Amino acid sequence: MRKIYLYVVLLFFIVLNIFAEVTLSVDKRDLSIEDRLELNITIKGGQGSGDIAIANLEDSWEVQSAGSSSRMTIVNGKVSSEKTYQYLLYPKKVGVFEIGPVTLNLNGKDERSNKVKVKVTKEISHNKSAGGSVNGTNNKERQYFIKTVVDNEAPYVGEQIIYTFRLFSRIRIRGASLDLPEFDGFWKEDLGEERSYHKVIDGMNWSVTEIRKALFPIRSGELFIPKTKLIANVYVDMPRKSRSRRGRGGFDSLLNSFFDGSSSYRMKKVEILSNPIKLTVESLPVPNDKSTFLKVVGDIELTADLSRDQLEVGESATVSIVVKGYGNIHDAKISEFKVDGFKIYEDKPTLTTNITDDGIFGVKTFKYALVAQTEGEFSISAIQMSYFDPKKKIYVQRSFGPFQLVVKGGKESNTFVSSTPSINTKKKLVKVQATDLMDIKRDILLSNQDTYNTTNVIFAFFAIIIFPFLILGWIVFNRVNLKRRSNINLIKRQKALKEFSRKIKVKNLSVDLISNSLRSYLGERLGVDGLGLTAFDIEVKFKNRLPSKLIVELQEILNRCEMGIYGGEAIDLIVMQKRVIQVVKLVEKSKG
Amino acid sequence: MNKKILVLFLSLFYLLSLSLFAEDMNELSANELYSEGNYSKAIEKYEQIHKINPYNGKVNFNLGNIYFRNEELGKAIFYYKKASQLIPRDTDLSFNLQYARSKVIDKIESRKTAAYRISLVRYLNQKESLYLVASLSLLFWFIVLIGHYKRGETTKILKLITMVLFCIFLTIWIKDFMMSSKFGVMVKQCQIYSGAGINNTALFSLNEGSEFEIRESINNNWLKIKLSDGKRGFVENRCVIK
Repeated sequence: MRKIYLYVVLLFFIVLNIFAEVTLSVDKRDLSIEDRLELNITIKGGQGSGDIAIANLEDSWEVQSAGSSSRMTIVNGKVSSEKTYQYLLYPKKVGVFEIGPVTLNLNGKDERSNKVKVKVTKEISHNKSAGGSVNGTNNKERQYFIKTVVDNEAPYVGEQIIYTFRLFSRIRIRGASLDLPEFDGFWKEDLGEERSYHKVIDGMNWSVTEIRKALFPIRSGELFIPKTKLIANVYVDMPRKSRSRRGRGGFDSLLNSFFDGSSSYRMKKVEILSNPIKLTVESLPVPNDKSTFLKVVGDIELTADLSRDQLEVGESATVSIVVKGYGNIHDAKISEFKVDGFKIYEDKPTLTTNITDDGIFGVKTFKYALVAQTEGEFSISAIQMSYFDPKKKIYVQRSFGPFQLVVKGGKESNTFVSSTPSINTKKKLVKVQATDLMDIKRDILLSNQDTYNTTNVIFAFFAIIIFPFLILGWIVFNRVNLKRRSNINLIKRQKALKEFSRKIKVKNLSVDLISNSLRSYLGERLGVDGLGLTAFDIEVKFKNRLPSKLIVELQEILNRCEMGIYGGEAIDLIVMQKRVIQVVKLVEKSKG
Repeated sequence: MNKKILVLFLSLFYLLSLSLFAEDMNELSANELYSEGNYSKAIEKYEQIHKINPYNGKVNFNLGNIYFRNEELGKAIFYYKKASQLIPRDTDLSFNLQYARSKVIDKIESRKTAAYRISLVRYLNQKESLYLVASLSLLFWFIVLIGHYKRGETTKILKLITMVLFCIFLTIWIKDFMMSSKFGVMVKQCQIYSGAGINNTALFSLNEGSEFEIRESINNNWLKIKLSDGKRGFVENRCVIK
């Protein structure tokens, strides 16, 4: 077929990045003849200038450029760039078309992108079961509606069907909350992220939001997919009469011009419901051989192989069985796998899935390790498997093998046989064959013992709040008491001094008066009757409280006074008075 | 009269042990269902047990296991996380949570600073942490009391050490248990939007098992979330277990 290439010559400068990648993508795979397709060519990396060529556009499409955008990122010092070219493609005829690949010529080397398949129909397909919403009787009146469809309304049990939810709107919608049904009776898988694109229907441009799911019916009979509900806030056009009549200027005209030059909008909460979808699920016919049926329905590919055909006793060979395709691969199950003469260890099956436009493509791998027990030649009988093909409506049987396996004896040891058992000094690392969860706890004490209760809270409150207050209170109380006691002693001393000063400064001095004043003062300080104090008492009671010289001085004064009172010794009263006052001052200073 | 009181007492005791027995039976049959591989039934039984014992670490752990076996990774991680708040030192739990997290598709790297990551939750549950803080408080004030009667360098140093320890652990406890946000886990792959509504910009998507903080609940249908790498957005309630 003669290919007509669309050449777009570009000159661009790309920051150094050795590996270039070209990706071709479209906003939808299914469109009507009135619709348009948005095509994006993304170029990552590359250096220098290059040409872009898109294959297979032929004369089936009208192409219009929609501009380009570029992006440069710097991550950990590594610079990468990306440039995207947008095109609008308008179909000229109906059919299924393959667009691409895009060929990018970079410094003499061709980089090719992926291809995409697109289907153009005359109008929106109505031969599938569809649950449309009610909002106006035709597209020209309504501004929003939802549509839910499945691609097959009479599947078999386990057959994959695609459920598509689409929200069509021609106005702004905000705060939308979607309540998809529970799909009782189905195993469900999400088919990628939600998509947004534009679609032209009856000459009107609609903004479409699409969510798809793969469903696998798990029982036969009539199954219903209930209504899908969407609650949202829509901006609706206000009637012209309700607009403010205050005049064309001012705040109102500013509001009006903000929304639209000729109308204003208000927000309205709406609830949109789709119709339920009824499916008639057929049960599978009885298989000829139940033991070989993998319980898989769909477009399936089966393979089985043996990793090696020669081994020694104790070594293992692996049988791998792979089930892949579009269908309920997750349900694939192999009935008991036995091989005589071998010990079999079964690995946990692994399942990987990929989301494609046609649904979930799954790959499930079963592995069996066959450990040879004895020498010899063994024949592993053919592995028979079958699956149900819903398009052909038959069970497809596949057979792999038989497999021949030769087992040789293990390595011979030396002929010397010792009477003591040999010690195996060569150790092997323990090889981890698989990882799995630790088992559940079977010794549970049923209570909420791992969290707070009232006792804990009370204890914490006491320890952090109450106890500190008690301690602080006790300490403060103690200190206040101590201070008060020392104050009493101070008051007593001051009183004694005052009394002494009053007595010693009288006009009619006598030895008796001087002696009694001094004794009373000393007695007050000691808290005893001072008049009975002797010179010996002074030494004993003031021993650690006054300096020894002062004690001696006091004793001498008291002795002289006694001599003056009882011995008739002449004493100079003024000198004695001054001496006593001096001694008392010294006693005060010492604070004893 | 005495006989009547005895009969009443025995009846009450019998009823109480019946209820405990019933709970035990529930647990026993749930474990049997789990061993048989009947995970959906086991879930039903364990959910009933969980309603009565929501703060039992082992019950949450077992629920996590059952959901994992039932291929509900998001719920498994959620219950493992709840269990780790209650029995944080359980090695089986750490292993299972790590194993479950290894199955999560999304890679989310935490941007929290090293200081922020200092936490008691890995070693102590909320009750034990509170006991630790309370004990340090008691010890500190006890030393203050001793120091009041017997002053010396030793009591001063001990006072300082216990005070510092008390302040540190109290701060960590407040950060871990008073200021922490609720967490949520994705139960299915969903888009995260810039606002509460599917017509807002889809910022990124998260797969089942991805964990995040819940900042706010909006209209009972949407949640404002934040990932540990700083990404924020809004997600529908139906995509999350919290």
